[in-house]
Amino acid sequence: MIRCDTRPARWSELASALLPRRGPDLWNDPSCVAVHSGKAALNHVFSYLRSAKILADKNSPILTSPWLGYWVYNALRPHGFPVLHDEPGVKAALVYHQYGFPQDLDEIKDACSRRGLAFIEDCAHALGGFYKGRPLGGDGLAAIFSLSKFYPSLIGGAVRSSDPALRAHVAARENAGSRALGLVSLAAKLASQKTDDAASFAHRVNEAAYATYPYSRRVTWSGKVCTLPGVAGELALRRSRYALYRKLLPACDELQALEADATPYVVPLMHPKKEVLDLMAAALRALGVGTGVYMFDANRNLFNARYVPCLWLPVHGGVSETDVERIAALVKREL
Amino acid sequence: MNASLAFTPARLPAAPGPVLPQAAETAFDPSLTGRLFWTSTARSALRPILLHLRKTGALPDKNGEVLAPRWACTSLYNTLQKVCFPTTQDSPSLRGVLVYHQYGFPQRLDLIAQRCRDRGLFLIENNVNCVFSGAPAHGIGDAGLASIFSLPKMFRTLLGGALLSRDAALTAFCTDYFREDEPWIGRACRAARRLYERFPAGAQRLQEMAYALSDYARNAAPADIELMRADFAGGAITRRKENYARLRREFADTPFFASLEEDVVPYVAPLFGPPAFLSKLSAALARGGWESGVYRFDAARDLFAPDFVPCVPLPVHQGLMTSDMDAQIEIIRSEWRSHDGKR
Repeated sequence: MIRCDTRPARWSELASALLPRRGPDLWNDPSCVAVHSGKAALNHVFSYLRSAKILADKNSPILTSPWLGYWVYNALRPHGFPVLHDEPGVKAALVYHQYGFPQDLDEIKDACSRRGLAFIEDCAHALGGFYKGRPLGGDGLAAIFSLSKFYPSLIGGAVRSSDPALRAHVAARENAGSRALGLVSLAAKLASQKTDDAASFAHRVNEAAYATYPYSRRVTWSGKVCTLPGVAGELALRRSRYALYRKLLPACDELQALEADATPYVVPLMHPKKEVLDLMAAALRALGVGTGVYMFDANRNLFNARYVPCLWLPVHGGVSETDVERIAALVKREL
Repeated sequence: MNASLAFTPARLPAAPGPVLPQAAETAFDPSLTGRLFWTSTARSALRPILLHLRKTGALPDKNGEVLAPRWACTSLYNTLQKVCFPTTQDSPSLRGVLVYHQYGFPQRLDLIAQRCRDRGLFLIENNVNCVFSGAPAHGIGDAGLASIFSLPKMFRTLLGGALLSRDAALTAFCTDYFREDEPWIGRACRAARRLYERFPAGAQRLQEMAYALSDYARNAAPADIELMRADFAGGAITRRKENYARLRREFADTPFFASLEEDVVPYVAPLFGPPAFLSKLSAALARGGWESGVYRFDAARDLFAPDFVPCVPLPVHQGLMTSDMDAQIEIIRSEWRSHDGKR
């Protein structure tokens, strides 16, 4: 089965990362703080908003997107209350660059500055993405990143911010984390990757481990997986697979309308008829591709979102060019 | 003395023998047969209700919004979030409400139920701070689609909860749902709870991990049901009522409990007063070894338009003897005298 999100880690890669290596570039960026995971990054950043009194208490509304994994909302909840609608009490917004495709940052910055809202960029799916030529993750008060969405690193994340006080707050929380819990969460994640059954013992343990992410310290070994030969080129591979889809499906207007310079987490294939996407998903699953129909914000604006169904197409390094050609051929036939 | 707000569960050496959870229904009311399900926790009771609502389309997808109270425990919101979207703001996109009878004091159910009927919203009662016979005069437990209960809030059980519903489709769904289980989760949650009670600091993360999974555990442990029955028969509820009545009696000449119903079996008794006094009282109780703090209570008793006011919750559980109540009352009286004198 070809997964759509990230290719699973190979044992040889995990073993190779035990050798001395430099961490990923993101972790060496002076405006970044390396943290245990993307979820821990979210928790730390919103903890800062509470300590800076931007969020008054745990009931303070935080504008978020729908359709996120439930643990994203749970990571915010100790510090504020995620809401789906813009309401008068909103003090902060979590702007999610879905699947690596940027939100309309000009519009969002404008709306936030008019309202005096702090906005945080959720770049979990946007490592190496751009908005009008500038890298994603530099427009908000802070940005959070997740290595494991792109690399087979299992866990690993970062917070980028130009605010030294925010970086210091995040670093202090990260350094207060437990190495033992970090290793437990890594082991749980590794075990969960060996099965797709969401009700399996391994998945349940991994879900339980999510609760400890804010208290866990990063596992540097895991981050070093990102720098291994054969892994470090993952972003370039994703871009080339994405370009190949665009080349093979020239008549698919929705695909051609997406930004050509994106580094996607997955490619969202949209179609006016959801039934067509459902049929394609079933055909792809029969072909051995673990995909499904999800919802994508076609307006790219958290304040004025318009969700349309889309089919996930895989672009990660575990997908060969031949796989892409087979998938594209099937899509073309169904279209 | 057990000075915690909730009574810390006592350890029975062992349950006298396995008891079928279903058989315990009659401990309260035979008419509950077939519509009461004993569950591993209150969160385990909430999950099948939400899954059923998703199945019927009342919750269209995981973004279906459910109105929940402010200031609730994070783990409650997290359980909701797995199946729907908890919100604390009324909006046109609301699909249902989870009304919480805080500390056992009823919300304005007639008003809320009517509003739900008018707007086509489902209503779930969160009775975790109530017992089954809590306040029949107020109709707690039967106003909506279903109710959830939590045993450790009222009895010495380690875990345990219940789901009560009159809805035939929901009870049919639950009958199937509770036939299956992942028993290891229930056992792990109990072990985590036991460790947490013995080593609160050391086992806190373990307890949080258990919370993250506890809604997946389905059936109640027979030992918890047995202990609840023993507590019930042993007068735990009566003792709680007496402790609450005594507080009301002792402070009848103050505004402390004036706005509260008399015929309630509370989880804790919220004491109201001037904010400065509440802060001082909370500190004085803490100095005396009592678990205390200033919390917020919905004085309007209306989930749709709450009015949260500060209060100091006072323990009234069955673990408090007359001398414990004497000590607690003396602290309150002394702080009130000092506050009143300054006025």
